Amino acid sequence: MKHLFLLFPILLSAQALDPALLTKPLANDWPTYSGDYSGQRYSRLTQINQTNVKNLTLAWTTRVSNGPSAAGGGRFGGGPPLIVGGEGTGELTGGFGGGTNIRASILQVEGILYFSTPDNAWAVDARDGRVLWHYYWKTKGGTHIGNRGLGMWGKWLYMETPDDYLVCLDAATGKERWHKPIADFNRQYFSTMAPIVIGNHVIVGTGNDLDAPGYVQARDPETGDVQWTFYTTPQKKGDPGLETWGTLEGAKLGAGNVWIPGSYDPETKLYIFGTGNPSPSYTNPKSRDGDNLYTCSLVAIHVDTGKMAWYYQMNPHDTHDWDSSETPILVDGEFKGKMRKMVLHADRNGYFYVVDRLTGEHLLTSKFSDTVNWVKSINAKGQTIRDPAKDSIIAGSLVSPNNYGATNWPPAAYSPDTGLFYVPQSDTYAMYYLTETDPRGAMGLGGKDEQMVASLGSYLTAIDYKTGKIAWRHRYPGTGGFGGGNGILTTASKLVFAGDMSGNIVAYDGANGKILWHSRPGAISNAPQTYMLDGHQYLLVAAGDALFAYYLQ
Amino acid sequence: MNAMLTWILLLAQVGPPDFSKSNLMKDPASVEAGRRLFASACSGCHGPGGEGGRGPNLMSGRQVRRSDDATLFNSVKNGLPGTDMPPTKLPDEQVWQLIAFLRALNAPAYEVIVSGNEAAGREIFLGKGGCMKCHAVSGQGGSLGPDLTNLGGSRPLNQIREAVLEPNKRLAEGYQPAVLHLKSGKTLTGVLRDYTNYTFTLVDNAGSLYLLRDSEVADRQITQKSPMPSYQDKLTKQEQQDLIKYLSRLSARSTE
Amino acid sequence: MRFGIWMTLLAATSVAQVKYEDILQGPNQHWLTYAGSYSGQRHSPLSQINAANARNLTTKWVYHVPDAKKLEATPIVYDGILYVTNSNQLHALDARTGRRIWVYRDEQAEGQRVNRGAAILGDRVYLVTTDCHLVALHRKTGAILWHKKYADTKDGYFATMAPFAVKDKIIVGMGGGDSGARGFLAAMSATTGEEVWRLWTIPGKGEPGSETWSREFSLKWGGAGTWLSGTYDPALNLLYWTTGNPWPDFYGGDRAGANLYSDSLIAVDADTGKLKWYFQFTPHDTHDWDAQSWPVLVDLVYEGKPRKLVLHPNRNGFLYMLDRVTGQFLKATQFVDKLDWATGIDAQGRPVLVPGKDPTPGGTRACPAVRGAANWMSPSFNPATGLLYLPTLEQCDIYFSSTKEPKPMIGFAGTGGESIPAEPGKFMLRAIDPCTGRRVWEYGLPGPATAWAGTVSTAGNVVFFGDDNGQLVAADARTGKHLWHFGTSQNITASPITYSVDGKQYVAICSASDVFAFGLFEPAVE
Repeated sequence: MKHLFLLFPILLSAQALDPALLTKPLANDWPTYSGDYSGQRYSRLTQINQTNVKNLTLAWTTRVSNGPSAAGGGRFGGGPPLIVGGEGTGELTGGFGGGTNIRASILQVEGILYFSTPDNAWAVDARDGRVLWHYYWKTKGGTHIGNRGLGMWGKWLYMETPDDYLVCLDAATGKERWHKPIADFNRQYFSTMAPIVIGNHVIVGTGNDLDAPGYVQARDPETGDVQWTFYTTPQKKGDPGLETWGTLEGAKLGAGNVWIPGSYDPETKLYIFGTGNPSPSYTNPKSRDGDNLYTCSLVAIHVDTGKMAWYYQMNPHDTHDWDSSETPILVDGEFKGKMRKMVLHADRNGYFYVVDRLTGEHLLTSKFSDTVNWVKSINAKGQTIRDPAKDSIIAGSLVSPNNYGATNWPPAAYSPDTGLFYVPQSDTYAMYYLTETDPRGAMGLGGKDEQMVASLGSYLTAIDYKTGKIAWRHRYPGTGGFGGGNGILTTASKLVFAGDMSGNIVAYDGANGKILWHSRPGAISNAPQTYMLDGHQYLLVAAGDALFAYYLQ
Repeated sequence: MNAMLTWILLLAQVGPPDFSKSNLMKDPASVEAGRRLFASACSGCHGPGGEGGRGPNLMSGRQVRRSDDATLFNSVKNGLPGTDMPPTKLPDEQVWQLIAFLRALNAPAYEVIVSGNEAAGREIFLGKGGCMKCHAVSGQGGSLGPDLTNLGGSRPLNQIREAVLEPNKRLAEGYQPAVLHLKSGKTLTGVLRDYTNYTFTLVDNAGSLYLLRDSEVADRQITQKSPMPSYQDKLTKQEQQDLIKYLSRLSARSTE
Repeated sequence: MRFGIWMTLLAATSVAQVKYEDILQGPNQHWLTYAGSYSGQRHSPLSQINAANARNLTTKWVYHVPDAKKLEATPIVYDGILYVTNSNQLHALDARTGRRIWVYRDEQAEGQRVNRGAAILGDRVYLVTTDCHLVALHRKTGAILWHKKYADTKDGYFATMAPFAVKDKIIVGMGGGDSGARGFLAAMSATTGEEVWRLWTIPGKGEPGSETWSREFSLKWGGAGTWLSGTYDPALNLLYWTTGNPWPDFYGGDRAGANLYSDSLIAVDADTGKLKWYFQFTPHDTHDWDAQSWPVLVDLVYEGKPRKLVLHPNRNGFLYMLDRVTGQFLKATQFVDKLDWATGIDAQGRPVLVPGKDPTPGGTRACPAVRGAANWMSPSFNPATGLLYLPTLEQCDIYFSSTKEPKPMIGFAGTGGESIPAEPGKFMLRAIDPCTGRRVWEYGLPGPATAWAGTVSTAGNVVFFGDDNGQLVAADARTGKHLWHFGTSQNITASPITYSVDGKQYVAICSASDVFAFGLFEPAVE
């Protein structure tokens, strides 16, 4: 008596992403970095609710492995198809070569998940975790610190590589269509950002820790050709903002890198993003005397032209490497009795800012980390003005937060149901010593020594954007690390999902922070997400080299 | 940008090192030569004993222990752009000598020569040191502190010395002293091997293991300080050295 | 109420010691040996999960073993703590939540290999390291009690097996037979680690059996490893252990003779280490058919008489039934279709060979494949259904040989079996009546034939097994009907177990890099 075993059909038919889907609020799929363009990371799915969330159970898990030998070990037979590309030997991964760590946001389009790590991309069946294909890029080198995910346009996927290429893949097969350089590898750029697809633009950005200009570019989704480039600092005489730098050379090499995706307002066609810190990061050479526009700022540019509509600089003349890269969150709501279209942003520097997103007008600045001590004053525009005594000095200055910041790239989230903004927070102190006394300053991140002094607590923090007040905080056991893990998801019925520091994925009541459910897949490495497929709402999260999908059985 | 990790930046740019000289690493003379080179070329930033200063601590950092030879070689040879670590003009052979010294700094204590009287150290361990109240060796002793059966076989000498003289400098993970008041009315005193929002794993003074859910615990007091006393003032310099000698000889694999 | 139960358990935990008598009882809420019991049946009396409700199984927890690539361990469970091994590592987990209690790592051990599990006795857990150290750890804290080296890597030895606790001894074996290392079985004192006895699986010069090797060299370098755990009959005080292939694996020209005690089942007095009897399945093996499949001890009525039996599904494709008191051969039945090296087994238990099936330099097609029709992954036996649940592989290989001078400790001497691309292997789980050899049901396991997954049987009439696609499957023990499955998305190279804590039954299995535990879905209570 033979048993007939039913294999799940593997759907390799051409799943395609309708670009119009991206302009709609997040529904069953998860088609872009933040789910939708608003950056809210808020899902309207309601199958998992406050009552039944405690019954979430593991639907499937799957583990992947970087590099060409992924077929070994835990894989079946030859494993899934492996597609190899790249311009290098694949050997030089700068000390990051060992482990597989999924920090990416994961796309879910028509039943297939697409995600990445530096040099690697995978497609996985969203129903059971089966790997459908694996793309591996043989790198020339570069900083392999992380990869924030893929972008999708129609049937094509886009990935940035640490050695500064934009790679276009066929989503059905993982086969490469083309790759184009997006930055000068020889100037120490490294590219980690998840490309953001808006209409027929693929928006890319890069990172750099040396002295080189930061910029955002739009690329043609079919050819990869440059459509426009927006530099985040002045590049030539006559450029606006040059007066906020000591010299043109200082401005040109002033960094302000764009390494985390921004948000997009389809109504105004504005792409709004945060810029990195000025360089050199810790020293104050004459060349960067001034506010250093447009570093540590929110910037809005027209997506079709790359022309700036407005900017708001939160942190003039930063001296602590506190990028303002966090994905801005676009919210329509009441502010001081008026309906407003706003941008919400919690900064690495420990402050929370609200700005009008049509004009860049400042609405609110508030402190969300109690220990922060580097601000001398908040000016009329709500900008946080530094206390020079808290710069790196030879005798050492005690500063909160440390270099990593009160928060960082792990995405915050917003729930329209609670009106609260949720952010992973860490309260820390560090000593900053100046080690380079040459008035010309140091290169890049050089010239200082930082010694961690204390970590006073890690939290998941809920902020009322109307007042900037803390609505609630959940404090995690122990110190060090981040409350809220590597980012946050909110769903309808006032649920908040986030990782903690003990390897748990946790569901909270968004109104008050009460814990409703937890499960322990191990150190959570990305922000949780959700999608609806075949009648099940899934909760998806990555822990290192593995994906875990939960549902209500 | 992500400054925490930039010390490795640019390593990627350089070619693979010449491994033909890496055999120097096993040679004690190389270690000694490396020590002299270190004193002249590196100690300015990394401290005379590699304990750190302007540059990072090289004795306890994971950077050295977890790095492979090629990575260390490249870091020394080519420097770390974006940091103050400069490239060096030293020939490859001397770079390998430096790495041999770095490795020796981080080698398990059992593998290095340690002065002191082992038998006298054992007496202190068993007697006036009172070590066995909390620590066990080969099954004899307490369970409030880390098992020491393989201490010398697993830890470098400087860490053992630090643990004896400056125990609060680095808390052993999983040995936080705690008092848990249970809802049942019972009180447990011991060390937390692990705790989260949801669970407590406690070993009490009697060596019993408790796996508790958060819902069972009414109140808790968790201390961040090591319960281990410093032996800086409790023992003479000679006694300290004898104790360290004894501890450095503890190796699970040497008893066969 | 729940709380009260838990505290009671804790109180019990603080004094509980695993006694020999506890192991004698076989699996219950605990799972105390590699195969759950001394009999090796891998059958649990737990029935909370049964054929009627298995469809409601759900994942209770997943524990990731850091850096693990290919877990092959069978976990053991005692009093709510689960112990699982990886190469030179032992992880103690809360069996209800998967939360780690302690982990032991021997970073001084040489190299990385698979490890198949731990043993438990008293307040200690035991594991072997890659380089043949037996390590005793305190089961609650992981503190090291002692390390004992029982063989040297310089002589070609390594270890992967789950040690086996019997009375006051820990029985250990070795690997390395595939590069010539001479097999032995050793008993160590559970208290001190001192060696109590050692039995060589290749006789010394002049000893009985030495005449079955044509060259004296082979008596030192003949293989016959003991790399799997074993079973034990307490009434007879006999250990049943399997031995590996003779070396060189694929060329027999320099070792004419039967090559005792390679490819055999040996019955050994547990107190003295004396060989009581042996039975050789594949005399003068040239196909690398180690006898390392599980010897299952069963008491059955055979030909009208109640008999103490041992069942052994061999790599060579035959299921053997022996009298376990005397070693008398009773019956052998073919359990795979792809078998062409012998036409059958004669009345003495000797294969009736088909000429021309030895490996040749040009290659010889023979079935089963070098991986064997069965292998170390565990079958199970359900006394209620009377069925043996056996993972089987239908596959042939091309076998190559070389007459080059074999050099000990450097592998296969240029020979081996190669799979045939046009004839991919296929796994089947077969439920076999051991008395008749009849296949009562079978369950096809489509896939790339890369699994090494075993089974566990329960009184709930559910048999759990890993399939060839990374799924843990539950099937009805009587009919083979599919009841439930869960995809781990990884190759499964281990065997499942079952246990219970706080009155709740769990099923656990290692995938390539994780331990999964399953239980019945229950809505959470406030």
